[in-house]
Order: sequence, then C-alpha cells, then structure tokens
Amino acid sequence: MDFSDVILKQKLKEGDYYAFEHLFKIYHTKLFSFALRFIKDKQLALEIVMDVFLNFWNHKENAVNINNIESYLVISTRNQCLNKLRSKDKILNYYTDSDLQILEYEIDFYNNDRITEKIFSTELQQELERIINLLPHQQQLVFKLSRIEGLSSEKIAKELNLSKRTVETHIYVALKFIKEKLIFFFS
Amino acid sequence: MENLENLIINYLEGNLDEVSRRILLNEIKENENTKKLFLELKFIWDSTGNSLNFRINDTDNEFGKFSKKVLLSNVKVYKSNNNIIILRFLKYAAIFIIGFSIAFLLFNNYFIFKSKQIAKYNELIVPKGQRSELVLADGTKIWINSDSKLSYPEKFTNNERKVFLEGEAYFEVAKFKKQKFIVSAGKLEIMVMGTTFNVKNYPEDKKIETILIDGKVSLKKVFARNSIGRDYILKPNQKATFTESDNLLIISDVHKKPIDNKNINLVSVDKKKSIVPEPIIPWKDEVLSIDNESLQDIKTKLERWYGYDIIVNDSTLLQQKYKGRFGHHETIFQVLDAIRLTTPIKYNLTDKLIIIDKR
Repeated sequence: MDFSDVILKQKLKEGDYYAFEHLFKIYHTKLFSFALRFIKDKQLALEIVMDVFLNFWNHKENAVNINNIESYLVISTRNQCLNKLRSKDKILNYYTDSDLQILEYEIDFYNNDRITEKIFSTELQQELERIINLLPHQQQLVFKLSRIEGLSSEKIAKELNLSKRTVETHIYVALKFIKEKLIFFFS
Repeated sequence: MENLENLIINYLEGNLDEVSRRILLNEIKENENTKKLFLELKFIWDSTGNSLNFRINDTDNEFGKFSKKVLLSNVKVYKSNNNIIILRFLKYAAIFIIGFSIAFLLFNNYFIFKSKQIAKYNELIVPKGQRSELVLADGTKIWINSDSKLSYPEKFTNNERKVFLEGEAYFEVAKFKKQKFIVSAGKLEIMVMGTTFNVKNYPEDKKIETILIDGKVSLKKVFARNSIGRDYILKPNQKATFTESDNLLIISDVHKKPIDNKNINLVSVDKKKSIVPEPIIPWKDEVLSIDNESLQDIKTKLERWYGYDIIVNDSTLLQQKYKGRFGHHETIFQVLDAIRLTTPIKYNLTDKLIIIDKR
C-alpha cells in the first residue's frame, strides 16, 4: 500500500485501523528515541509515546486538519515529556532539581518549529553523515566510536591509547565543527 | 576546577555528579551564549547517536498493547452454535492476529500465514509449532523455522535483493552476479552470492548466529539502516555469533558430528538407527536435534518446535542435560516420555500449556 499523506489523513479520519497501524509502525521508534532525549527511563518513555498515539487515535477526526503529521506527533511527544517532568510523580527518584531545570531548557529548545519539522528528515541525516566525514581523521574516528559504536570516552581512550581528556576534547571539537556547519539549521 | 568543555561532554555521557551539574546549570542560566552552545551541542549529540535499541519485535509488542487499550472497549464477545467463541470488532473490518494475546482467541490447531504488504514488502509469519518453505522471485529457496518472521519483496528491483529475518531460516540463494542477496537480521547484515547458509536471529536469545554451509558470505554490523564498519568473511563450515550486548562478533568452526550411539540419554521411539553423520542444520530436514543441552534450553526448543508453552516447576530439573533426535512425526509427548525414562518427572497438559513437575 502506498499512502500519500492526504489518503492517510482521510483514512485516519474514517477510523481505518490498518492505516493507523501503518502510522504507528512508521513513527513509534522515532518518537521513542526522541522521548529518550529527555526521559532516561525506558518504560516511562514508552508510556509517553503510547499516550501520544492514544490521544491521536482519540482525536483522529482532526487528522485532516493537521498539516504535517510527523511534526504534530513530535510536538505532542515533546509536550507530554514536559508534562511528565513537571508533574514530578514517578520521576522524583531519577532526577534532581538541577536535572529538571536543565531538561526544561532542553525541551524548550524543541519549541522551534523549524527544528521539530526536520529532526527525522533524511536531509538532516545525510547532512550529518556528510559533515562527519569531513572531520579530520582522528577526530572522526573518536566521534564515530562514541556516537555510532556507543563507546564511552573511557573505553575509547583505552582502545586508541589516548588520555580520556584528549578523547573528550576530540568529541567536543567535533560537535562544535558539526554545529558550525549546520548553522543554517539553527538560525 | 572543570572547564565548560568537560562539563558539557561529561553531562552528555551521563557521568556528571550533582555538584558539577549545578555548576553547569549556573553557567547556562547566567550566560545566554553558553545556553545556546550547550543546547545546540546536545542536539547534535542526540541526532548522531545510535538509537536502535528498539527492534521491530518491540514495535509490534507496543502496537499490541495499543490495540488492547483501544479495541477492548469496542469488542463484543459471543458464542456461536459450535461452541466457539468469536471476537467481533464493531467498527474495524480487519482482524489483527499479531500482537494480540487475548487468551480465548480461536485457531487452535490451525496455522495462519498473515500476508501483508507495507511498502512493496510481503511478510511471512510462521507461528510456533510450524515450519515453512518459500521460493523467492529469483529462485532462492528459504526454509523458515517456527516462531519466525520473514519480510521479502515480491519483486527484486535495484541492484540488491534484500530480506529481513526475525527467527531462524535456512537459505539456498540463487546465483545472480549483478544482484547481491542481503539478509538483514537485527543488527547484522549478511551479504551473499549464490550460497547456502543458516541464520538464527531470535530476539529472546540476544544473539545472532550464522552458519555457512557452502559458498561465501560476508557480514556487516548495521547502524540506522546503513551497514558500517568492516566486512567479516565466513567460509564454509564456519559459524559467526554476534552478541548485541557486548557488540562482539566471533567466528568459529562447525563440524558435522557422527551420531554417538553410546551416550544417548533419550531414546527416540523411532528405532531407525542411522550411521549417517548428523547434518549441521537438522531442523531443515524436520529433525528435532538435542545435543547435550539442559532442560532449560530444550524447553525453549520444544516451545518453538511444537508450539506449546512449557513451565518447569522444579529448578533442579532445568539443569539436567539430554541428548537425542526426534523425527517430524514424533509428538511432544513422545519427547516428554523419553525424558521421563531417565528422570523422575510428571507432566500435565491444559490447552496449550504443559506443566512439568518432579515425580
């Protein structure tokens, strides 16, 4: 089945469950990984995403009025994360006050529509890949080991026989480099 | 005194203590530029991270939970004349089998192949207790073991033939020089050109195993749907085991084993004693092979092979080891009876659940 957005929205409005399943399967992992940027607890993040989809399902008749379903879902997830953090019920165990404050700043960052619309776009992914490959050799290696292989800077330091400080600096410089190259994205 | 750079990197990696976190927070609060820098760097950190800690199976599970919440409120249950309970969904025409674990769902001794297309791919789902075979458009033959799912395209376009596997399957890939054949099994991609091999990728096992019978394959790890890193080459009669938790891929040799008639603990009811060496992939030829495995492991094998749920009530029983072979015509009860010959057990069957106790 090849759903164009228009047909999908129409089917959602009609309550076509198969169309909803399609939507769920496309966006669930993305929204989950997005929620994980703020909520460190996997179970809680899953709950939040589940609520997002349930809310969407319960208001599916409005689907046709939504311009961009992906941004809509991302923004909903962002809002749900914010609500959870502010409600302070279960999270008290995981976060300190400074944690919560920093996280509010982070969530606020995604208030910018330009950013939320693009975070899962292939353009961004491709740009990031392209820019990473421009990094100088050792920095690139360290950065990839950190972000792609998921190694801590301590492990990378051991692997490459460098000091932890050097590894951290490489990562920092790499992040700044990428940020500079992506300036169009942020402004 | 830590500088800003260290604070940020350590925060991103999650090893900043509370004192340092408060320092970071103050820096962010007091200086708008610092705040902007921090947030932009964090954004890039998040966007470049490998977030694939979620498998296809997990999304299915989540959708199952979602369905329960949504549909249960709309379900009407009634009995028909033949005493079968039928679920009827009031508004929705399609019936979703996958992800639904309502206990009284029918289709007891009935296998279901759900064929569904999403973006030109078909999905073949083989439930527990069944095995299946499939021939692809290019002539590639695939044998699929129980409790497995294979996604394959109806037609092969592009310059590669790609299928996705969860569970276990045995491949005899047709030779096509221009199109490499790729099996995507969780976090591994296996590339072949006219080869015979077996792939085992059950999510619960937390490892991915590939055994090469004939030909040549190369394996690569997968990140964000792109394969990265080096190629691992397998030669015939080699096995590659990939463990996700420590990101290790180990290659070992596999040998055909002759049947050891001396130390068999289990006696197969099938008295045909063969001297033929045991094939490396017994399940493909419909043989359930148990090779010095603990009851714990056998339990999982039996659950998949026969499609029953099994509970063993005595933990000491789980440590016992057994060895034996059973043909496709033999039932789970024959296997359990064979175990009973050497170990004091008793078992009870209710529906599709078998409970094993010490006698």
